[in-house]
Parts: sequence; structure tokens; C-alpha cells
Amino acid sequence: MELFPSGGSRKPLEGALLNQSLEEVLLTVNNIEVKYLGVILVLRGVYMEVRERQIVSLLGANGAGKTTVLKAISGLLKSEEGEVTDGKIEFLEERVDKKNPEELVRLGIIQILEGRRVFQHLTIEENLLVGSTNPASTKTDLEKCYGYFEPLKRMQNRITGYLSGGEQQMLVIARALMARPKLMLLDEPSMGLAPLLVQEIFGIVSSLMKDEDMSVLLVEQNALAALSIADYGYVMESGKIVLDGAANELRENEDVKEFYLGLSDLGKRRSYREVKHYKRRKRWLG
Amino acid sequence: MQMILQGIFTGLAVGAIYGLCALGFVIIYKSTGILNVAQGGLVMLGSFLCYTFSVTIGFPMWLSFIASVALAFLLGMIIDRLLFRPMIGQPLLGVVMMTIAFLSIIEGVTIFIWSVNYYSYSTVFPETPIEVGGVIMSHEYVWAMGVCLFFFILVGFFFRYTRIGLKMRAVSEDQLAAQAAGVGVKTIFSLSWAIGTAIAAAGGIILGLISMVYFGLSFIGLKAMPVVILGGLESILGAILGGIIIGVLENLAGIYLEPYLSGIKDVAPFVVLMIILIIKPHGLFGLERIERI
Ligand SMILES: Nc1ncnc2c1ncn2[C@@H]1O[C@H](COP(=O)(O)OP(=O)(O)OP(=O)(O)O)[C@@H](O)[C@H]1O
Ligand SMILES: [Mg+2]
Repeated sequence: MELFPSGGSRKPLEGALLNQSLEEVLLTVNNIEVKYLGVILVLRGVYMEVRERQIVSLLGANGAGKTTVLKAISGLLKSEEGEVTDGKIEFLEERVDKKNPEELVRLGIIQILEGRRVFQHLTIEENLLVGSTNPASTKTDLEKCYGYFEPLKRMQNRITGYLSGGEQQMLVIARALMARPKLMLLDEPSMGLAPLLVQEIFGIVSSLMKDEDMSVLLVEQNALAALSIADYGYVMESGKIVLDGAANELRENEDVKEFYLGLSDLGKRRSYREVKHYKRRKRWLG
Repeated sequence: MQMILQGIFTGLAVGAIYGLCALGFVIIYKSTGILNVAQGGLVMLGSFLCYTFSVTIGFPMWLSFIASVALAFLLGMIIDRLLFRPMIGQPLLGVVMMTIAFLSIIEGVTIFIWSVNYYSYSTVFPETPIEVGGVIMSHEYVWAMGVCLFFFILVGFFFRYTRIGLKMRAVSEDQLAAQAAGVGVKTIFSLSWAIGTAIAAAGGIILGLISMVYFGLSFIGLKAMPVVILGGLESILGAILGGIIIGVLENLAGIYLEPYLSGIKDVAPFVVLMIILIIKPHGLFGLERIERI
């Protein structure tokens, strides 16, 4: 069952044109198709636009292809036997879909992988140093990171394998910040974190966007939280974009409310959480 | 007492060389994940290269050493580029088969060029050994220990304090995350092969110095295997200490047990290895994955 039957026939880029921010366009994803191992078709005609100083959120159920979109943009797809077989990706008006991750990090695109992948046996400071791409500014960049993520400074010489989930999430964001990115691709930062911590981290991401002139493409399961800090949102379903719009419109959208956010009012959601969650999954996968 | 001290000294020197050979192996394994079966071959090749520089060409010993190690460094890069880069992402078994094939090529080429003779470097050290408290130390052994120690410190410093060393450690922990952070993984692989091969060559040259330059060094170089497993596959400190432990044990077993059990000298390290692995499956200093989420 398709949730938004009109989604498939939607004209490419029409949605992205709705993204009427006054900022310059940073990234355009133009109808890309992605295959793994040359045969497994995972993305079909995915389009997207991220402007400067914007937080764009990408929503969708498990297996919809969100992580694959990020990997296509960051170039990491190639190390997983994946390939952009059609369409193109442009960053600052330059074609980037054939570039490798190392070049893309230098251009200003950095992906933060899902699952908080810290280098466990390195210290916090060493983790940050791995992320630094410019030796000349390492010191100032470190100070900047510690400024945004104060808890990290206190533990700078600690091995990171035993940090709490929240601390590890802060660390991977800080590590990405060391490369002075223009676009941060952030994959499910809220996974398994307490709501208060999610709020704190999203708050920091918001201020990074404003103060560091950075844009964020935020993949989330936690749609409510994501839409609350995003300017714009895209919804994916089995490899396609099925809906997009300004974040506040998406939040009010009846379909999104019912099927994705799984709530018509908060009180109900709490008591039926498990049931709703199950139902939602089933629907999205169907 | 005298005898035991003598045994320990010899064991330390030989063990340091085992440690050096194991170190080369660990550096390649840590970053690329490749179990390089050909490490012994590279050790042997190093000794022959140095022989060629010092005897055939006539360079002084120190220059021959540096030239061979530098050449091995380049060779390591070439090995990575030609043989192993195309195999990135291939199943482990195929990659290990590649190292086995590579070993037999090294051995074939060595026999072709140098045949299966025994050679030795023209003597560079004074004949009269140094004597400290009744322990007789030949100059070769003292130098062997010194050179090993130098390499241990150099490698330790490199991984601890340099940017590129840090990036190598990051790659060895999580390749994809390192790549995502902008680390050029291919450069790191290339450098790991270069360093691993250079260290193997250094080990081979020293082995040639205290014994002979001959085909069999390939098998002695393979002692790196139990040493590495004893120390823990990913541990640099483990490789060094593992080498020293095995060297000392082997020598003491040779002195004290050999008269009763002939052949025990070569078996003893493996017995110890088995016992340690039963108690600590990751080796003495191996990394256990930190489970936490
Ligand atoms: N390396 C790979 N090889 C083959 N198929 C893959 C690979 N990685 C992902 N896939 C497939 O691509 C589809 C999309 O996966 P992806 O990880 O992009 O989804 P996702 O939206 O990020 O899901 P989740 O919310 O669970 O993280 C899935 O069906 C998955 O099985
Ligand atoms: Mg994902």
C-alpha cells in the first residue's frame, strides 16, 4: 500500500521549488537512482534541495533509504558497493556524485554515521584530532568544539568507549565540526537517547547552523523533534520522496500527523505508544 | 646462575628480533585487516637486499641497512598498489590466498637470484665479545637489541604523537567512520604496507647479522605468527613483549630442557601460546571490543 499515492507521479524537483528560502542553494540532489552491487535498486528518483543556513530533515520508516541518500551525498556509498546510477548531485554548483569521501570532506560535506561511531580506544581529544583536516587551525577548532560541547572538555583525555550515549553523540558531532563543514549530514542522532538529551543536542545543532554558517541534513525517526528544529522536510517511502514541504506545514499535514507522527493528540499517543508504533511501522512498510 | 643470565640475554636479543618481525605484521594487520602470510618472506628478502648492498655492491654496513629498509618501504607501497588495493572489499579468504601466492613468488625470486646458499655480511663488528658480570655478549647481539629498541621507540612515537599515526589508529578501529571523517583510507593502507615491509626488512637484516643470510630466514620470520597471537593481534606493545617472551622461553627451554627432550626448544613457545590463549583468548594485550550502548 502506498501512503501517498500521488507521490510517485509527482514531477521531479517540483517539490524542491517549494523550498522558498532566500538563501543560496548549497546542495541539489536531482532525481538520483542508487543501486547496491549493481543490481539492488534502493533509490528511485530522489530529489532534494538544501540551502545555506538551513536545517532540512529527511523522514521515513526503517529501510526507506534515508541512510543511502546521505551516503550518496557524502560519497561513502562507494565503499559499500553502491553507486549513483542515474541523476546527479551538485554541491555549490559543482557536480560531486563521482567524488570520494575524502575530497567531499575537503569541499565541506561531512556525514555523521548512525550509531555513534566513536573510535573507542582513542581519547576524546584524539577522536577530535582525527576529524581535523587543517593542521594550522587545529587548536582554535578544538577550542570551538569544546565551547559547544562543554562536557567533552572535562574528559578530554578519557578513552571514549565507555562514554555515555549522549556524550558519544556529542563527540561525533564535534569530530565532524573539526573539519569546518558547510553541510553536515546527520544520521539519527536521537537514537536511544533520553528526550531531554535529544533536546539539548538538537539545540546545539541549531546554534551550529546559525553561528557556524552551516546547513544540516537531518535524518530522523523522531519526526516530531526533527520537524521542530527543521526549516524544511522530505518524507521518504521505499526509495522515493513521497512528500515535502516547510517543516511547520508538514507538522500540520493530516497524513503526516496520522501516519507518521502517529498522533492526533499527545495524551493519546503516550498510552497507545506501542500499539501505534507497531501500526505505523506496518503501514510504512506495506 | 651464570647460565640462566646468559640464556636470558640471548633470549632477549633473539626475542627483540621476533618482536620486530611481529611488529611489521601487526601494523599491516591493524590497518588493512590483512593477515599477511608473506611476512616471513619479506623478512628474508630484507636480509638478501642488505647482503647485495653490503657485499655485492660494497656499501658500508650502515648504509646498506638504510638503503635496504628504504627500498623495502617503497616495495611495500608497490605491493599495496598492485596486489592488495584491487582486493579491497573482497572476501578474507581470497586476500589471504593472495598473500600465500605472494610468498611463493618472493621465495621463487629469491632462489632464482641468490640460489639456496648461505651468505654472511662482511664482518663489521669486533671479534672479542663484551663481558658483563660473566655474561658474554657479542657485539652483534648488542647491536641487534639496540636497533630493535630504536625501532620500537620510533614506531611507538609515530603512533602516539603524529597526526598520520593517529589516523592509522582510527582506521584500524573503524574504517568507515574514519573515511567519513575525511581520512584517506587508501593512503593509510599504502603507508601501512610500506612501514610493515620496511620493519620486516630491518628484522631480516638483523637476523642475518646474528645468524646467516639464507633461505630459512623466511621460516624464522614466520615466528611472528605465534608472537603476534600471543601479544594480541592488534597490539603493538603486545607484539614487542610477545616477541621477547617467546625469545627468552625458547632459549631457556633450549638450555635446560633440550638435553632431556630433544626438540623442545621449538615446541615450548607454542605450548605457552596454547596456555595463554586458553586463559586469555584475545592474547595478552589484545583489544576486546568495548560493549556499551
Ligand atoms: N550495503 C548494502 N547492500 C545492499 N543493500 C543495502 C545496503 N545498505 C542498505 N541496503 C538496503 O537498502 C535499503 C535502504 O537502506 P537504508 O539503510 O538506506 O535505510 P534507512 O532508511 O536508513 O533505514 P533505517 O531507518 O533502518 O536506518 C534497505 O532495504 C537495505 O536493506
Ligand atoms: Mg539508516
